[in-house]
Amino acid sequence: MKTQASPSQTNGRKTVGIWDIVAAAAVICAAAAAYFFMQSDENGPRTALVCADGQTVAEISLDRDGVYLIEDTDMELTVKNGGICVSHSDCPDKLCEKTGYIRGGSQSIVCLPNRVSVRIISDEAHDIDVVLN
Amino acid sequence: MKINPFNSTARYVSLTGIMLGLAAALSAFESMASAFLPAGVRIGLANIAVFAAAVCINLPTAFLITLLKSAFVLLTRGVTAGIMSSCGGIVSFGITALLLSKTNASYVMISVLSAIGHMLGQLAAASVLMGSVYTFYYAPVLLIAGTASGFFTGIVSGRVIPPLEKSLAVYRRR
Repeated sequence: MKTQASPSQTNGRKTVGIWDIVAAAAVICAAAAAYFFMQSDENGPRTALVCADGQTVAEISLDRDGVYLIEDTDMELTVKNGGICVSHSDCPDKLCEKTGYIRGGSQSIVCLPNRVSVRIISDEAHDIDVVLN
Repeated sequence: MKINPFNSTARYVSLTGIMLGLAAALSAFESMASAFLPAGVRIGLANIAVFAAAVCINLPTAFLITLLKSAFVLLTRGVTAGIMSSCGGIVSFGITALLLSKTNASYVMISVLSAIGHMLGQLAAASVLMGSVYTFYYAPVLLIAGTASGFFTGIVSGRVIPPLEKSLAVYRRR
């Protein structure tokens, strides 16, 4: 039987150790805490900021229900009950549609193929320039 | 240094082909399976094939497989997905290579860290593509998903890779 040129990379390598489980649990707990911290719904009037290619293209008030089309894309945004979602998109993976309604906190919708992102800001923290209807 | 660690070229080429085929097939299967998962979350099954190639063949070949897998994604799922796949793949390969060659970290540890690296590489690529940093709001969700899926693929890797490496060891060049 031939001998190996280099020592085996699997020699002495464990599949899983107790510290792996501890570290994985710690990461999951920290991430879950961050998630719930970011999830906290803000009360009061909020505005959705729509960015395309890094530029803010629209600011949509979430007070009124409505349907909006984004220029230069086939994307459609729907505002309903203080939340906003991408109700239609021409992108291939539809991750933006799958994200569903976002309401506040630091939630965002991202559509990579269209380079469009939607995030929500509280009106108190931001002076509104234009409200699109 | 020759890239072929085996005693025959045919063996090297066919093994590399099998690993690339596995990576591409698992990645295609995964994109169907992830329809049931939250937006942006993936299982990372294809990483098992790259991981296996890194251990059973060698690191340069595993890197080649990573790049060719991203080329497959580019052809089948479009430019955006291709860029995302290559950025995530390169970061995750870097972490796997470092841990494999320099440390005695467990399979699960390597797998989890490379899954997290994959995710951070993709988020960085996404924020460059978008021209904004708000894509990082996804980080907590992806961190939980990456850790869980990395744990799973690490367990599978720890089961699958050692016997495979052992059975291939006899064909390695002296």
